[in-house]
Amino acid sequence: MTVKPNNSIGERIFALLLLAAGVSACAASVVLQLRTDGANAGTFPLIVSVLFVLFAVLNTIFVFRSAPHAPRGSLSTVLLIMLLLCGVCASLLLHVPLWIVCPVFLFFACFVILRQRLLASLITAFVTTGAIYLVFAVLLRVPLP
Amino acid sequence: MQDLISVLQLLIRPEVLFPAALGTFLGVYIGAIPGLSGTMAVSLLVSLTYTWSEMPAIALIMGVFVGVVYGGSRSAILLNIPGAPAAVATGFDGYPLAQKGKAAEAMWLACIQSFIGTILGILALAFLTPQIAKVSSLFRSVDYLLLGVLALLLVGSVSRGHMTKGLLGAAIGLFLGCVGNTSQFSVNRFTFGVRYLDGGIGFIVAMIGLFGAGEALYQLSIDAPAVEQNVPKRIVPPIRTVWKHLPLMLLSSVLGIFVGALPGAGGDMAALLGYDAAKRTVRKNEVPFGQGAIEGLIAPETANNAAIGGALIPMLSLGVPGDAITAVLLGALSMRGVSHLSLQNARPDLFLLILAALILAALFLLLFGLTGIRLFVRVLRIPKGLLMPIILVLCMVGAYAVNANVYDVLLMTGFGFLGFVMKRFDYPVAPVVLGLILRNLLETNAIRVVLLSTSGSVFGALTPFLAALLVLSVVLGRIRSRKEHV
Repeated sequence: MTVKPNNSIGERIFALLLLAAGVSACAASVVLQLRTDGANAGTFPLIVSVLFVLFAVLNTIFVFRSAPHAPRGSLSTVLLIMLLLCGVCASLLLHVPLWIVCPVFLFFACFVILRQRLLASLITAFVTTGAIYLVFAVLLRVPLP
Repeated sequence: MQDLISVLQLLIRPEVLFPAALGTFLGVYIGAIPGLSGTMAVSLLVSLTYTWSEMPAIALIMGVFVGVVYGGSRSAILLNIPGAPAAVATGFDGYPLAQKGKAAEAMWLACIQSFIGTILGILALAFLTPQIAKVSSLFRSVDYLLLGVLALLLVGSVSRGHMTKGLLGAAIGLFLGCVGNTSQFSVNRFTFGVRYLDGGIGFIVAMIGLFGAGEALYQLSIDAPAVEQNVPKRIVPPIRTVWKHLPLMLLSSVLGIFVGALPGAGGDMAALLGYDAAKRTVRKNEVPFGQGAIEGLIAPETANNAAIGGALIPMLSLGVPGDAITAVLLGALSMRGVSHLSLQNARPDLFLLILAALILAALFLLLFGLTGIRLFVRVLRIPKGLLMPIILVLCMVGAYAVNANVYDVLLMTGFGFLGFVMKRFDYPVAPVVLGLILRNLLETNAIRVVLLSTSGSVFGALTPFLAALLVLSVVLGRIRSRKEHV
């Protein structure tokens, strides 16, 4: 008896999530088409979402049947950075200016998560913040949070 | 002959020379910053030059226009973050070249190609304006729809052997492009009551997230050692390289000029079509496309800069902007009281000034493009643990700068994570951006075609010739895709 090679759980979950997203998109397009009868606002999304589902089904079959890939590094660093970037920094930006959020993010990311040297992390945090302000706010007059 | 002498005289006038130099310099460096698009750079400078006289103002703006299109390639090559949508295709092979330690060579080559593309675009602008304008004005909705479908077939080129995953990505991009309140319908689509989504998902924010943040997160997840960058002593790539790819350059330039001249289709589409044309026509490339093929860098860089001349053709002859930047330029000219319809006949002096400013900008592009590359390459020597957080911050600020909206940062982060997961599981991210870019062109023209057709369906408007061309495109695309798999 031969054992079929399988891909990682993560890849399978991602393929299934894409399929679920496609089905949701298709359902939402049908609702939109019915709600805006005559305006054709849902026609194009409906066509696209049907294609979305079709390719997602093909992709899921492909993923479940194909050979396994080589392992690809650790996820924990990325998740920690994402948590810091999305959960902390982007939320903080709603209330705190960038010149505080930016060095804090850089210092934590470089020193705490990515284990860089203290001095290098501090220099990176403050020089990058200064450079961003100089280029965006002073030279180009782009409003920053 | 008189016109040529006038242009030559304009080239040495200080009020044209210095602003063109300053504009090109600013364009090259602003273009390299993710989030600061060419349209934004030109808009900022138009407001600054409002009080200036016509000559230096137009010279500066033209310099920025040329500089910014090239500038976008630098960050695409070094960091896989296209500085502008026109540089998306540059990253397909430019970034793999940088990963092989050839970042400097790639940037030099990109500069030379941008220069050649710009010059050929200027020549077309000078000599072919009436003819090209006539052809582009004949384009109907159905032709634009066909153009959109053809551009969508580029998925095959950017999928790197994962056709199903690429098509899925394009479908995701097209669907995400439908989110929001579009100009055609007064209906909020898929916003789920979130007011921020009413304006839709901006493809610049998506692009920064998918390419920039996604790549930074992916690099942090793997333990690949830093690549030693080779900085050659020659400042100009061997003439042999340029000469060898002359036919590809000419093909990309012609494509760039023509696509640029089509209203609504700008340098981004020109570059993508140029890349696709290179994949279809180049047979004896030493390195496969997507893995650092020089041809994959030459074609989009030549095409997107050639599109500058192309985009100015309908603007200067018909008063119709070729892309977003020329729309801003048109507004700037209107503010100055310039009647923009058939500018070539109505204001020949201004037409010649634009030509002179573009020529100077192309020359300064060579100067500023070929210098400072060693400094840029040093960026890649910064340890990954310091560089990647800096890139993430740049993505954050770049996303915010697009609309001055904090929610764009959140959206960019979401796209960043999506880009990371896609890259981790070998899904090409470029088709998602392609779908986002093409949605408006496809949907708008599909609706127009349906409304204009007597049968009330998009198929009723297709002539047999167009239908045959469509089928042929799909079949050829499929055959090529199979060949790549074999």
